[in-house]
Amino acid sequence: MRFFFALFFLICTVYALIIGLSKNPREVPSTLINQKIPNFESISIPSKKSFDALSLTADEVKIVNFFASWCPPCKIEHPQLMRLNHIDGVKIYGILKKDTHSSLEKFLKNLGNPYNAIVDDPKGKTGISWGVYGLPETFIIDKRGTIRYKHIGPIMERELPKIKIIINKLHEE
Amino acid sequence: MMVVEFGYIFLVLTIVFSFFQFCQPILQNFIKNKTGEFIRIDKCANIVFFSTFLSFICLTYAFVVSDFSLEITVKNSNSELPLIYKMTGVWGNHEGSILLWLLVMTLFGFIFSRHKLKNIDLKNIILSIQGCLCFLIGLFVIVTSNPFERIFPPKIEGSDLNPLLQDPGLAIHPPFLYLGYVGFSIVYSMAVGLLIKKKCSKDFIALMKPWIFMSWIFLTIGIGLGSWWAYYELGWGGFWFWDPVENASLLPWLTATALLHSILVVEKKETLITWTILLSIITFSLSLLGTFLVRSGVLVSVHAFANDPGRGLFILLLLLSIFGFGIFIFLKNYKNFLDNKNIEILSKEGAISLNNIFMVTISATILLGTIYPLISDAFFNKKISVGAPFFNAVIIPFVGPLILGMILGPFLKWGRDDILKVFNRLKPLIIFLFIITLIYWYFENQGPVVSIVSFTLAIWLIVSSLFEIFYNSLLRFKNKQKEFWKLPSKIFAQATAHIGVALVIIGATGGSVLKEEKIQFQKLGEFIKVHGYEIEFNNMENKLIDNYRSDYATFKVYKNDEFIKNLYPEKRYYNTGKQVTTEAAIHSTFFGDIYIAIGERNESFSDFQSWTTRIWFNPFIIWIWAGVFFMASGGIISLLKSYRKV
Amino acid sequence: MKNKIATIAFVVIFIINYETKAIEPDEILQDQILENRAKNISKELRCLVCQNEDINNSNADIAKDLRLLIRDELLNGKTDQEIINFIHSRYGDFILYKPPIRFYTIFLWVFPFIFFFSFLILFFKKKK
Repeated sequence: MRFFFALFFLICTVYALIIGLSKNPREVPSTLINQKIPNFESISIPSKKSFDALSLTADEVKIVNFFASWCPPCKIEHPQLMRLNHIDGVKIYGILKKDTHSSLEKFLKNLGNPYNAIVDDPKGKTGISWGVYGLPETFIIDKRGTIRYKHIGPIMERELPKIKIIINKLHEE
Repeated sequence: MMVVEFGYIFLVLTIVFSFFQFCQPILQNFIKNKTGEFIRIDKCANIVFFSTFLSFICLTYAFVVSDFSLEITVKNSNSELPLIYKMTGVWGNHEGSILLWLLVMTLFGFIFSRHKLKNIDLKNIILSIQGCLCFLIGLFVIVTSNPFERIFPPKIEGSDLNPLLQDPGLAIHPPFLYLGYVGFSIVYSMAVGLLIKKKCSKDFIALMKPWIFMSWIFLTIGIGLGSWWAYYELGWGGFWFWDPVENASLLPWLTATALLHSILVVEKKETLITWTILLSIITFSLSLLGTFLVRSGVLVSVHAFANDPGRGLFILLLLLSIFGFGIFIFLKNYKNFLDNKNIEILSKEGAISLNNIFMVTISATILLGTIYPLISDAFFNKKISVGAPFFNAVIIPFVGPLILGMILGPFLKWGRDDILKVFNRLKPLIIFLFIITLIYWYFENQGPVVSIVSFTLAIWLIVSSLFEIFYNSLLRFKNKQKEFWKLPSKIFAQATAHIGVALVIIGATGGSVLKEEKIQFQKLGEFIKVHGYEIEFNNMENKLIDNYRSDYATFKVYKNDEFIKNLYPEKRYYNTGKQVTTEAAIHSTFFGDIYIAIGERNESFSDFQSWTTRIWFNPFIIWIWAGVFFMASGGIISLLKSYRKV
Repeated sequence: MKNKIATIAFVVIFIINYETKAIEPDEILQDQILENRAKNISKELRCLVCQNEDINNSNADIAKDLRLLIRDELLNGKTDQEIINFIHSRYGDFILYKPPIRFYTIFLWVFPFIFFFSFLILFFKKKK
């Protein structure tokens, strides 16, 4: 009888191992999905429009993008952000993580500025409030200020349709 | 280069002949009337070993001459590499290391075939099983991990061997580990052979014992080397991280320790045979499981080889087949080995059984903890981490009783013992321990409770082991036996090994709980005080060595104003990649190590040099390596004794 | 597979980026007791972008940010558990090296003891 118990445990283990082969052990799911946006300090950047938690409860679909000029994948995803910016009723907000203002200016000048507003996160504290651990990371927020989707890593061109579908769905709510 | 082709051909030869080796007894059974043999099984074992060996030599040759038409050399070697790292780099990657696994497996098959066993049938079955194992692993190599894979077009230069692996530690740590892991393949084959034959003889047990001991000794040394290498190479002074790969090596070691103790019981009292057979199957399966875990990509580890789910699936199937077959045969035939002997708790076999239970529990717990993230994800869709805090929390409670068992066990008689008699036997020891403990606690009443309890137990273990030698000598003296000091070697073996365990505990406790750390910006000429030492940051220069550039620092170590020695920690920038390694400098003493590592230069000062320096005092850390040495020595004493018998 | 490349690229900047290092002298608090508490908390937290390291020893940006956060909060008078809870609430179970006791981890925590006692009974049970 105890053999059946051991057998059951063995089958569970093997199942878990096989499932494990198809999964990515480094993926970290977000705890903030379906939660209200977290509190964060709005540190403004000179000559750039700033925003705060309140702005993110406005009646439209918002995209919050954590980025920095020294981050290569951020450059890769930038064209996709420019395209997302052209969708009606969508505003993109940027949070600059651990970067200098002059680098930011160069970055936006060279690649374009999709951001409706940008705040600074020089110590990474805002990043921690949002559960950010790498760059770039992007959040999609609905009309009521609830985080509905998190995208880890750069938004690649082929992922754009999926993002657009999510935005449309949130638009219609 | 033709050599590479030959390497591949030899590998194919290995697979073909190991298949013959596997089939031979089966065919023999079907062709009972034939007087001639299809092919002699021990000739098979010879061919299998030699062709694997030649295949391995071919691969090594490719590395040594820097043949970059091979994918493996391009990814793992470089023409600027010092020769020793060209050679050891052969196993510093997945494909090469699996070939080494296979080589060791065929080597042991070859050695086993040279045993003169009375029961030829049984010997052939064992060789057949071993042949099957070699066949399966060989198949795995050629299908998923072919080291002789070419790259088109051939490259002019290779990437490089990971600088962390460019170290003498690499030369010895994997070979010892594999000798250990794979040694248990023979033990597995022997156990399964026994099950198939449905009976066991004393001679056979006498043969199993040295194989178990030898494999255990290699595994112990292999793990010790890994821990030592991590200590001096990674620059943090840590020696155990509960990383999945480390856990993978500890799992079979724990069950092997249980196995090693069981076989002693089998030898003496002819009981626990089924348990011994089961442990043999489990230990080798755990060796394979470890291989799976670290090469399949299911777990995140600092040690992980390049990950490949395809390989992972293959190894998993291999593991299931081997473990599954072993368990199937066990369940079918174990009743032939049962005895109706009860095991009394208060007896030597009771103590050993208790030890076994501890070892297996700890092993099962570590296994569960290591794979639990997978279980949690697959069944509950929850991603969790299981790390050092968990393992420390659940395992430490078991270590205390385990040590107490090790203290009491050697003094118990085989069969039923009487508690009053035991007490009388141990009266002098108990008094002595009491006094020593009081003395120790009088002098050492500061420090964390954990370390005091841990050291107390370790002291008890050492004293009781020495007492055992003394007590037995005294008995012989009283019985007027001549040369009363010449005790049976098994007492020395056991005392040495157990003292080794105590030393490891002291070293591990000191090196973790009692570590002293000083991290600062240190200017040239500045002194930092640690644990009674004064350490001066004396010099910093730029050196070009071999295949790297070095920030080469000189530190002067003083104690009580007396100069002790110079230490030279470095930061190495390798020419080939952007990789940087930290080379710590260590001054080891009986009481602890001074461990120095340098960080970055402090850029805010331009008129003088100020660097981040990290200086540690790690109390008693060399006792860990000394303890491993003692444990292995205990095993060797025992092994030599059994070897003389066989 | 392509997702993997993107993830690896995203992670790789932390492995190659040696601008920030493991715990630096300027992070260390003056107060020895608080500093020890900070270290003990750090040892329980996983560096999310590393190959299995805690944030105390890691070179990654996120590790440094968390180390600084922990020290800031300690200076603000928070308890160890409050700090761990906050970080846990942002990053989930994965960041904790000691799995929280929940229905999906309870088996892990009780297993050693169940296993041990079952075996004990198995071995020492009297046979007829």
